[in-house]
Amino acid sequence: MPESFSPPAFVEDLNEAGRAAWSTAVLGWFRTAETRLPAGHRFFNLVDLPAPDAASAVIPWNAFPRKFTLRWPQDVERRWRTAEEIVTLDMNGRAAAYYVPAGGDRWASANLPFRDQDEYCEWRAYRDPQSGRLQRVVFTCENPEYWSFLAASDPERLVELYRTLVDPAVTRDDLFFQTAVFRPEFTQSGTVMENQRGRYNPYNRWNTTDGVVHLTHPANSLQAEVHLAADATLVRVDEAGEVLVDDARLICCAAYGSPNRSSDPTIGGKINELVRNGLAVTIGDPVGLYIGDIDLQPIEPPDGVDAADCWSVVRGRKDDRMILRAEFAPPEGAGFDLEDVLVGGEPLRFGSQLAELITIVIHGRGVERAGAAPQAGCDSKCCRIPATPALLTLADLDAQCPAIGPTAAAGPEAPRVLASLTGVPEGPLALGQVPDRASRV
Amino acid sequence: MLESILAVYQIQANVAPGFRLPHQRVVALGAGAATAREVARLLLPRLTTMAEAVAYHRRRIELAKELRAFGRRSFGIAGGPSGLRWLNVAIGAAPLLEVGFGGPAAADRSFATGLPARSAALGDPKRPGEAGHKDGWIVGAPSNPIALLLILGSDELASLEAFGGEIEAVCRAAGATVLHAENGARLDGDIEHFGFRDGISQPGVRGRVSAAPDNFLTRRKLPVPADEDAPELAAPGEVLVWPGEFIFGYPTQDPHHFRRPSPVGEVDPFLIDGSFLVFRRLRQHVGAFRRATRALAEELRAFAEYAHVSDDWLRTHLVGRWPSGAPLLRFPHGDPGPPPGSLGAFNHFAFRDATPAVTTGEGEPISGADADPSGLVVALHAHIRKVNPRDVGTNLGPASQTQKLRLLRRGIPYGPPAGPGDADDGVDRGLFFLSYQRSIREQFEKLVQDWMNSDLKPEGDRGHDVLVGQAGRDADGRACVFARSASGPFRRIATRQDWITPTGGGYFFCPSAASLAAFAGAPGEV
Repeated sequence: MPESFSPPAFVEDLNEAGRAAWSTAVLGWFRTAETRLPAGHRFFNLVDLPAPDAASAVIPWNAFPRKFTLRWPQDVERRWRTAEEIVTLDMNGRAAAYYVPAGGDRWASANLPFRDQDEYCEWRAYRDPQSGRLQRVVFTCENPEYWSFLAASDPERLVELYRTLVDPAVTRDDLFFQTAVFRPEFTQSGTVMENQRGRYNPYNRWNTTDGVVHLTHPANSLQAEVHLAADATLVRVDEAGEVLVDDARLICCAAYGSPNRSSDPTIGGKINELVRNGLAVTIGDPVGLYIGDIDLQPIEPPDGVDAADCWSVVRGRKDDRMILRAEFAPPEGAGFDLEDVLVGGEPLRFGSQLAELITIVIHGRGVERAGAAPQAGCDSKCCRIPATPALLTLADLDAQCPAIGPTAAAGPEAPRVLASLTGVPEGPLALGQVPDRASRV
Repeated sequence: MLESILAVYQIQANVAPGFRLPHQRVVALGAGAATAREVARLLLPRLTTMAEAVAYHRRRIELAKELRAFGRRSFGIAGGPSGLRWLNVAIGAAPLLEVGFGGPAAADRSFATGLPARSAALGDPKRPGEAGHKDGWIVGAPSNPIALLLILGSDELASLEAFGGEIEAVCRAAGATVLHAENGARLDGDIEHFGFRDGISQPGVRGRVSAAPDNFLTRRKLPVPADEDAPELAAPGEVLVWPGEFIFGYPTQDPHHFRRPSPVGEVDPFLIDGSFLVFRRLRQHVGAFRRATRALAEELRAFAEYAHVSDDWLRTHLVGRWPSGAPLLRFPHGDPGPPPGSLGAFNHFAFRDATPAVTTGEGEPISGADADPSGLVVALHAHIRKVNPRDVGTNLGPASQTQKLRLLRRGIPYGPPAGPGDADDGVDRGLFFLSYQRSIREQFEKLVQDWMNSDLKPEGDRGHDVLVGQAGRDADGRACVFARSASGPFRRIATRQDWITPTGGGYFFCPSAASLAAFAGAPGEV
């Protein structure tokens, strides 16, 4: 068992001092998450409590965002296309938690671009600039914190990796904020807005509009995963004192993520189940989100080429389900492009078609713990989104859920703002309204 | 909410409540669009709808209870066989599009793409010449597309044969080609050819068959739970599902809640009261199954904690049920034989949480069952757990989402039962897999591709559905993992032996009587 936390998938980007500092950072997230829980809680970390005999549980979920399938259950083409758009607001109206001053004490969204792919896996479809035909697809589940950490501890290595992974034309200035952009920092004395100028920009062009290196959706952070896991260890009871066991009810009650995803209800539900069965739980080392598998069976490349020869793991480890970055492209020297490849009998035109075949995992660990786990009532509930009633939103317990009209199933589209548009998408916020960046909600 | 009144004179009978007849015949027709329309016109008056099947089965079941004659014996118990002649008709994508009915293809991309093109996604062999490759199918191969699929049923073989001859003559006279016609028959004990009782767990379709508030299609044998968020069961283990998951034009299941319906939304009129049909002709190699599972058991016996297990123990644990259909979770130590009461005793269990004892409305007490969240009794790879994880959240979302993946399974075996021993006898036997659903892509294909053929899903990395999964043509084959404790050790065994070969099939739309009439060109319909 580790005396320190390893970098995701044991990658070796960091020097010894960097690895130690990364471990300290991860340990800090765990300890912070533990402070949110009541005495006797069932969350632990493997540095403070090494557990060589811990049971393991791989928790899987699908990479393609469930929210698009819920939103457009029949229109497959639309969800494939929509999932690949670069946005400044996601389908539910969430923006990256970076702000610019809007006069006085108020702040407006900095409108930073990101991928609306919120299942801890993101991908980019690279196309031929002339023909628009699909050339390759790159998938990542690398957490943004690690890359921010790398930027702070070894910026030269950061630039080198970007050049290797994305484009030799990457410059250092491209990767760091060159103007005043603020993000909330949560301190013991409250929230303060910190100027990020000169710091790493996770939404830089080479990680958004012109490339992909790590996760960008505001919900896709490693801290959020740790918090979700911690929050899910609380056994929840309803008003009648009945213990909640259903994943859908648990997530509405505990608000540890979005009920519209595959990932959050599944992760939270599994962790809660382990606790109800007498375990204390944690996330295995190295803590991370990983591509666990791709189903190559539906993929039929031409010329007798094996689909496995088109799939390459670029970062991470395949054998123990810890892939961080992978690429799907014709093998070197092949006389075809990806649109000549069939997936499920259709030409491969979107990375989404491959995302539907990818499974993301976290590696949970559990040890037996005597006594009763602490219980809590509900912190929230779920309401339907009137325009898209197949989707839920979290609400305060005393809030009135909006009415769902008879024509709601064919209601208006949810607003989406593309990166090519400019302007602040929503009204300025007071500091107290600025959302928690590490939240999965 | 009052449940919908189902259009009993429109919905074809095999969609619901299902033919369930002991003798059935599958007839695949090749035809151009004009001929297909003419065949539909000629067959329309013979179509069997929900109304007739519900009435017949209600009478049959009442008599069966009185006379204690269940399963196949319940047919013809009142004065001998009645010579039923039931017929259902389903249409392929090509003739529908040619005639101008684009609704089904727009509603389901996989239907539009067709089974041959999708077969690789289901795990079928991809290399031409390999057994099971679509080019070699005996029915539904790309070179011989099926325009219409007919399903005929009777309670006696002679009537079925006569009816089949009559119907096929009509089709031929109209210009259609009978590409394939083959009988299926329920086997004694309702087993499939590997020897396990099949078809125990089905979703309970909500909806009423008349205006009476309690005249439900699916009889309710259990009280409605007081907890409004808990699933409502028609009978033990039979979760009630809103009919729109199987039949267009009705409320669907809410993905976040067991009991609430989702709004109907806009539906192409042609789709209303229709359903998508999957047909797969799956050849079962019983000898190969017995030999390969013997080898797997031998492999497992090499681990000390499994040294005592028998070949049948291994087979049972691949299924999750004993040959009688008794679930391992309720009967972990041995096969109790046929259920003393209803089949409810074989379906009253869940995996994540313990199931309390119940007494059905008919006064039958059914004891509770323990939970098995870690898969120590019913392994995570067991067939019944893969295709119906019940109360467990999965890679696709919470357990309420799982109810949106349910199928109405109407499969029936074909070919004679195999004798004892594990030698290959060369006889073609297997299963006509038939299922009805709202979406082939989101239901049937999701189950097969995402769960049965995965060694990682729906619950964790404990192996494939080794029994019927088609995955594993990679180096490792189909694998499964056994454990006595949640912390291991985990014992992994694998096989590269295939004992099921796809030999045909297709994707179809089973329209309402009115839509079939519209397809046939009858004026004033749809």
